[in-house]
Amino acid sequence: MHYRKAKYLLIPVLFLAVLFVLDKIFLLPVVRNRFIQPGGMIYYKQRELQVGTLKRLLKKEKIENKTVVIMGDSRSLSLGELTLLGSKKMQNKYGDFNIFNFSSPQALPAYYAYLTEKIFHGISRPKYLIIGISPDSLNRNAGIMLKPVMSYGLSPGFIKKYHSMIAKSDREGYENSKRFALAGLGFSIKTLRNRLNGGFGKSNNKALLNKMLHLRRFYQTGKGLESNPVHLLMFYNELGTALQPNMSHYNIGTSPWRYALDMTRGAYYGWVEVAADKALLEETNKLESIYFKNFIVSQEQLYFVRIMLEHARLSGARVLVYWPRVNSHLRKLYLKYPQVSYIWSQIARLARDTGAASMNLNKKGVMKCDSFYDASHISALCAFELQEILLDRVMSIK
Amino acid sequence: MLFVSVEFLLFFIVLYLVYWAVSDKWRFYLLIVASLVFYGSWNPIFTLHLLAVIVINYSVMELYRKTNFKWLFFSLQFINVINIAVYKYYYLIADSIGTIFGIDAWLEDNLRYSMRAEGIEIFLPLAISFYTFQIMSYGIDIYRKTYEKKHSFFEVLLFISFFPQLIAGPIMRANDLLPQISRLRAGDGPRPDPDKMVRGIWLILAGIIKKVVIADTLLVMAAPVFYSNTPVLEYHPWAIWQAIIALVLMLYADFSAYSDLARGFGYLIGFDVPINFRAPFFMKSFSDFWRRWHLTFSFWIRDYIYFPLGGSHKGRLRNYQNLILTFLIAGLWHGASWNFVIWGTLMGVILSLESWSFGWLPEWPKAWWQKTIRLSVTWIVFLPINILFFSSNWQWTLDAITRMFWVPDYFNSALKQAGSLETLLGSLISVILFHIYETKPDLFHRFRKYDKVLLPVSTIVVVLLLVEFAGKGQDFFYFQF
Repeated sequence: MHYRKAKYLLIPVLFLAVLFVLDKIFLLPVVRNRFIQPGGMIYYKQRELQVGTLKRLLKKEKIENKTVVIMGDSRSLSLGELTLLGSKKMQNKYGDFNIFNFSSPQALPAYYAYLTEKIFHGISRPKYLIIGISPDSLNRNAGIMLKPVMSYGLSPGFIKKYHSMIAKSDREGYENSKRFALAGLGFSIKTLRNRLNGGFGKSNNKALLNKMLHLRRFYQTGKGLESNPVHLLMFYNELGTALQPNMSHYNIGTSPWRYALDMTRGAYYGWVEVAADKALLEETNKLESIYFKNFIVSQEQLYFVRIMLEHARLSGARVLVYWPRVNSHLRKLYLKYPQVSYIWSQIARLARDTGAASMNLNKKGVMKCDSFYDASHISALCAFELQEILLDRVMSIK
Repeated sequence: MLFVSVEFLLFFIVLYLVYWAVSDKWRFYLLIVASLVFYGSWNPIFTLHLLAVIVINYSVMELYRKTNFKWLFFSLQFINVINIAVYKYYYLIADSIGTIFGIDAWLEDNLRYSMRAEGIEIFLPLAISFYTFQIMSYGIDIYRKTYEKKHSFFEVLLFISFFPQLIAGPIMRANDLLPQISRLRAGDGPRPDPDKMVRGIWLILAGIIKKVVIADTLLVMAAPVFYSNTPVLEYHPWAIWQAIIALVLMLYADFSAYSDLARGFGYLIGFDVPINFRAPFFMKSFSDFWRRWHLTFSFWIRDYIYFPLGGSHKGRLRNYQNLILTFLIAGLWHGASWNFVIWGTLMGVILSLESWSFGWLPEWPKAWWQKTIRLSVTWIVFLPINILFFSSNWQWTLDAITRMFWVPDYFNSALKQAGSLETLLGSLISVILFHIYETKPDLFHRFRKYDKVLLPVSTIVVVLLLVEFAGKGQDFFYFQF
C-alpha cells in the first residue's frame, strides 16, 4: 500500500473529486439564473419569467379574448406587439391585442407542449395560439432536443413525465449535463473574457431601459414602420450598442437582453438585413450537405405536436399552426426530401383532428414578401405582412 | 474508450487507486486485465483476435529459441503480414483487381455490401497496424539477438496490450517496456515518484489542450474545403494552402496529443513511455522531418525495413531504391488506399532527391540564403504532398495541387476563402510553443518551482477549456433554427 508513504498519490484524485463537487453548484437555480450563457439560454430563461408575467396579467386584467400567444423557433421571433405598428390596418384591427412571443431558438414541439401545459391551464387562459413549426427541425439527428430544449427549456418534472418519448441518447445526455453541470450550462471562457472586458454594466442597463422606453414611446406616437423600416433598424442598432457584453448579462435579473425581450413581450427584430440570392444559395447548399443527408423523422416530436394541440383544444383556444417561410432555394430542397413533406402532412392532419388550422407559408402566392436575412430566416422587414396573415387567419377560426 | 472521455477518466481513476494500493504482483495482473478491458471496450471480439496474435507470436518465438529453425521465424512474420493484409488491405486489393479487369462485384462498395449481406464483412481491428509492428519487432529482435532476455507469456501479453500505448503508439520495442514489466512482476515495480506524477499530469494537460482545443478546432476549419461537396476549383488558392496548413497542424496536434496522453498516463503508473515527436515543423529537410515526426514509427521502418535492405551502404542508386521501397510500405501502413501508396512513394522519391542534393547543398547550410532555399523548397513540397494524406480521391488531389500554384487565380477575389485566419494563426502559435518545449524543455524547467500553484490552476483552466470546446462542432451545425 503505497499511500501510507506517499499520500501525495491521492492528491490528483481528491482534486478532481473537489472540482466535481464544486461543479454541482451550477445545478442550483439561484446560481444558474446568475450564470446565463450567450445564445439561446437567455430566451428560454426570459420565457420562463414571461409565463408568470402573462398569467398575472390575464388574472388581473381579464384580457383572455385579446391575448395572442406565439410559439415557435427562431423563425417566429419577429412577431409581436411592435410588429402591429408597422401597418395602420393591423393597428386598427388588432391594436388592442396583447401579443406574447414565446418563440425560442432551436425550440421543438416538446417545448411547445411544455409551454402549452403551463399557459393554457387554470382559469385565465389566452384565447389565441399561433405556433410556427419548421418540419425540417423534426430531424432526430439534429441534436437540438438535448440542447437547448431539454437543458434550458423543459422542467425536470416534464422530462420525467414524458421520458418514454425522449430518445435514449438525449436522456443520457441530459443526465450527463446534470453530472457535469458547467458543461451542461454551455459555459464559455471566451464569453467570460468578453463580458469581463465590458465591465459590470449596471449603469448601462439604466441607460438602456430609458432608451428603450423612449424608443417605444416614439413608435407609439403613430409613426409607423411600414413606410420607413429603417426605424426598426435604428432601434436595433441603438439596442446593439447598449447590449455590448458585460458582466450584468450573466444575471437574468439584470441582463439587458432580458429587458429588451420583456420590452417587446418576447419578440426579437434584430434580423433586419436582406441577404443576396447568391449567399442564400450557398448557405442552402451548406445546410443540405451538413443537415439533410441524415434526416430521420422524429416520431417523438410528432407526439408532442399532438399533445400540444390536444391540450390547447381542451382549453378552448383557437390554434393556428404554420410552416415558416424560407428562401426559395430551401423551399426547392424541401421537395427533394420526402421526410419534410411527410412531417408537414402529419402536422396538418393533427391540426385538423384537433380543430386547429394549419397554414403552409412556403406555398406559392401565400406571402408576397420574400426577403431573407439568411437561408432560414425571413427578414424582420417581412414581419408586418407575416403577422397580418397569421392574425387574420387565427381570428377567422370558429 | 477514448482517452479524452468521461468513461476513460473513471476507468483510469479506479485503476490508479487500486494500482497504488496493491502489491507489485497484483499490479502486474491488474494492468493486464485493465489493458484487455480497455481494448475490449472498443470491441470484445477483436480482443480475442489480439490474444490469438499474441499467443501465436509468443509460442512460435519460444519454439524458435529452442530450435533455432529460421523457417519458424520467417513463417511467423509471414503470418503477421498476412494477418494485417487480410484485415487492412483486402478491399483495396479486390477493388484494384475489380477496377483493372472490370469486375464490378469486386469494387469495394459492392463487395462490402455483398459480404455484409452474407454476414462476413471484414472489419479492421482497432490498432492492428500498431500492435502488429510492435509484436513483429519483438520477434525480429529475438531473431537478430538484439534482445535475448526471456519473458513469460503474461509479460509479453502486457507488453503488447499495455493500454497507454496500445491504440495509437508510441510503438515500443522490447527493451523499452519489457524490462519495466519484468521488474514489476519480480516485485521491483515502479515506486511512487512525485516528479514523475507531476510530469505525467503536465503531459496529460498538454495532450488535452492539443486534442480538444487545437486539433478539433482546426479540423472544423479545414473540413469544408476537403470534405464538402463544393468543387475545389471554386476555392481561392490561398484557401487550399490555409486548409492544408490547418490539416497538417491538426494531424500533429491530434497525434502528438495521444502520445502525450500515453506518456502521461504511463508516468502516473510509474512507467516510462518514449517520446514520439520532437518539434517536427522545425524541420530543416524531409530527412530531418522523419527524425522528428512519429519517431517510434520512423525508427521502426529504418531498423526493420531500410537497414535490412542495405540502407545507404550499398551505393547511391540502391539507397534511393531502399528509401522508396521503405516509404512505399510506410504509406501502406498509414492507410489502405492508393493515395497513401502514392504519398509514401513520393516521400521516398523526395528523400532520395534530397539525399542526392546533400552532395552539393548541405542539409543545413551556413549561408542564410541557402538556408532560405532549403526551407522554402522543403515546405513548398511538403504541404502539397500532404494533400494526398487527407484527400479522398486522386482527381481532387490533382485539382487541389494545381489550384495552389495557379497564379492567375491569386488575383481573383470572387473565389471562396477558407475559415478564419485568426484561428489558424492562433493554432500555429500554440503549436510553435509546444515545439519550443519539445526542443528546449529546459527553458520551461524554471517554472517547475511554481508547480504547486501552476498545476492546479492549469488543471482548472483545462477543465474549463474541455467544457468550452467539447461538443462545439455540434452547435455549429444546427444554427439554422
